This record gives sequence, C-alpha cells and structure tokens, in this order.
Amino acid sequence: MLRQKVLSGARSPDEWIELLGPLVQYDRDAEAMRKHMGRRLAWVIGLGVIVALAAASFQPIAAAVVAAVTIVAALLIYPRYRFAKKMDLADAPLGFTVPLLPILREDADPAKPLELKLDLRGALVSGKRTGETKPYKKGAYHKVVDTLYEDPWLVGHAEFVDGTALDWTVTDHVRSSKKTKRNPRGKIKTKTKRKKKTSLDVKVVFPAKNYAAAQATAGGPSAGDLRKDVIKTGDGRTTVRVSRVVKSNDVNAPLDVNHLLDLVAHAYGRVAPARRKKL
Amino acid sequence: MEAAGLNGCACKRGFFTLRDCPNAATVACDICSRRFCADHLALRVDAKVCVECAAKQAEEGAVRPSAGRRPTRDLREEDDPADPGLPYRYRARYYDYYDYEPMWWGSYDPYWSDYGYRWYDDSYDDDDDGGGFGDS
Repeated sequence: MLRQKVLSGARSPDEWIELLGPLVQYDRDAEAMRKHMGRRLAWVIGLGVIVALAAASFQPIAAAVVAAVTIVAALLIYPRYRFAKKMDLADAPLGFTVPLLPILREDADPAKPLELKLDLRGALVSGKRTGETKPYKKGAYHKVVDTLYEDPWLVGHAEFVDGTALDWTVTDHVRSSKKTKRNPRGKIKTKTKRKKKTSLDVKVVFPAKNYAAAQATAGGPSAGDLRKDVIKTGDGRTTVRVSRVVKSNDVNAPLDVNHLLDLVAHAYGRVAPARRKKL
Repeated sequence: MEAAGLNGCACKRGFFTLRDCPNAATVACDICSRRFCADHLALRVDAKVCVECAAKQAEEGAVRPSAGRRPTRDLREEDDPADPGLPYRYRARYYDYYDYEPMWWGSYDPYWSDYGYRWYDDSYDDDDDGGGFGDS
C-alpha cells in the first residue's frame, strides 16, 4: 500500500479511520526523516567542499583525502534521503480525508460501506501528465513551456441514513511553467513556477419519498461561489450537481474540508423534507 | 414534533441532517443536564459533558477542544479522527458560520431551539408514526 500510494475499497468509516489515522503519523515521520537526511547531506557536501578547497593550496594530499571522505559520506547518506523521499506521501489528500471521515460517519448508513479511492502520489508524477504546450514567449522570458497535470486524488461514494447518495471527486489541475530568460549580464536563468486549481465535483441524489426540490434558502455557500449548480428531478429522485474550483499558487497547499461540506450543504439547501418521519 | 424518550440519548446524530441517537442514555451532562450515551461523552478530566455542549464551549473559546487529554497521535489536536468531539465541533462551527439549517428527522428538543432547522411542517399531514425510513 505504501509503495503504490493508492488506496481504494469499500469500508465502514471507522475502518477507514483506523487505516488512515496511522498513515498521517507515518507521513509526518517520513517527512521529518527526509528533511533530516537532506540537511545532513547538504552539511556533509558543503563542509567537505569548503575544507577541501581551503586545504588544497598548502596540503593537496589532505584535500584529496577530505574530498574522498566527503564523496563516500554523501554516497552513504544519499540512498537514505532518496528512500525517505520516495516513501513520503502527498499531504493534501490525507489532511483533507482524515477529518472528513468522522463527519461523513455521522450521516452514513451503517449498513452501507463508504467507497473511497485515495491517491497519495501527488500531482507531479509522469502518469498524471496530460500535456505540454509548445514553447512561447512571455515578457522577459524568451522561452516558456507549460506542463499540465491532472490528479484526481479523491473519489468517493457514500450512502446516508436518509436514503441520500453522495458521490464526489476532488481533482488537482496543476500547471508547471518552466521559464527561461537571459539576464542583463548575458546569463541564462531558468525557473519553474507551479499553480494549482482544485475542482470539487459533487453529485447528491435525494430519494423523492423523503425530499422534494425546493428553493435554496437554507444557508450554506452562495451560488456565486459555485461553478456548477444543477438540479434535476424525476425517476423518483432529485439529483443536485454542484462544483467549485479553488485556486492556489502552492501545489502542496492543503484543501479545507469545508469546501466539500459547503457543496453537500448547498445540495441539501436545494431540497425540502417531503414528509414527517423519524430516522 | 414528538419529544425523545426519557431513556434515549439526547444528543443528535448527523451533520447535514439531524436525527435521534439510538443509544440508551447512561449519564447526565454537567452543563445542560440532558442525559446522553457513552458515544457522546466529551473528553474531559473532571466533568461529564456531552459533545454538543463541549462543541459549543470550544466555539465560544471557553475550553480547548480536548482539554485534559493527550492526543493519541501527533496529529493537529483538533483534527484527531479518534476524538469523538471532532464532527460536533465542525458541525457547531459550520451551522454558526454559514447559518446552515439542517434537515430535522428527530424528536423535538428545546436544546436546539436557538438553531434554525428544517422539517416537514404540514398540519394536514399526520404521518408521524415515529417509524424509520425502512417502514413505508
């Protein structure tokens, strides 16, 4: 599971919490180890280069020994750093899903499992690359190439006690722009900037025996925040589809669980109880 | 609306909709005096408080979310999924912030009279048989 970094299945919310709760701590440990190893690697290389350069003029043999020791130490540390980096999980999907589970458990039908597909690989992997633009010019940059990634990191389905069925997908659309320019001194400088748009798409199906379509008057987010807000009635049910896009300049920025709660709450705002019953 | 039975837990389950907790009450809340079950006991050291009162207090800044308790893991304490109060804090905050009115599928409880909620209010419909969704 940790090697593939993709989890999918149908489990009760409690089983998902049991599975994902320890992963959060694991991820923190892996991240701490990666940072520790990265710092150690930087220190060893930096110190080795400085000492070797300083010794080179008056003790060439000692400088060579220091350089050799530095290379060996770096070679010993690097595999650990690489392993820790490989085992690191994407933070945003876990940070979003873990608090969501106890909330969904409140409404979930205990007899129906919660279906989830959670991708913890992050957006910037080759399999999620969807395209690359042709080089173009923009301002001072004589060459800009955009690489696009699509990362549907959370897909879920839940059935609630009131007969409502909820489907949702959270997808990151990442644009990685590699920009190259020539500075006034004639040097070529390249930098990479990334932007992320996260789209949340929600479909809520309400059974007609309990709910009827109504005006959205029950609080929740305003329709202005929504990219899509469609209601359809028929076939013994009312279906509401809503979606929202959240923009960020940081690809690792966490996503607030309230965005999904907003969309589901808005869908509930589009219906009204059709009868008086107790659950 | 019909009031909940005396032996039933007074806390409401749900986030988008609210319904009665099916568990039997075992203890009384030191704040609201309602009786509630072990599932809805907030994590406190010297007091027995229901998760709904604990969530209200947390929102008002009166106490830390899990005061007196060491989190089981090094998670951000507020989002520890093992904390039974987590969904209730989210719920209290969400209802306050967005004025969200949940669907009411439970028994009447004056504790909730300060909140807005939606329920089927048709005086000509006398279909309240107290049954569940599976009985029709």
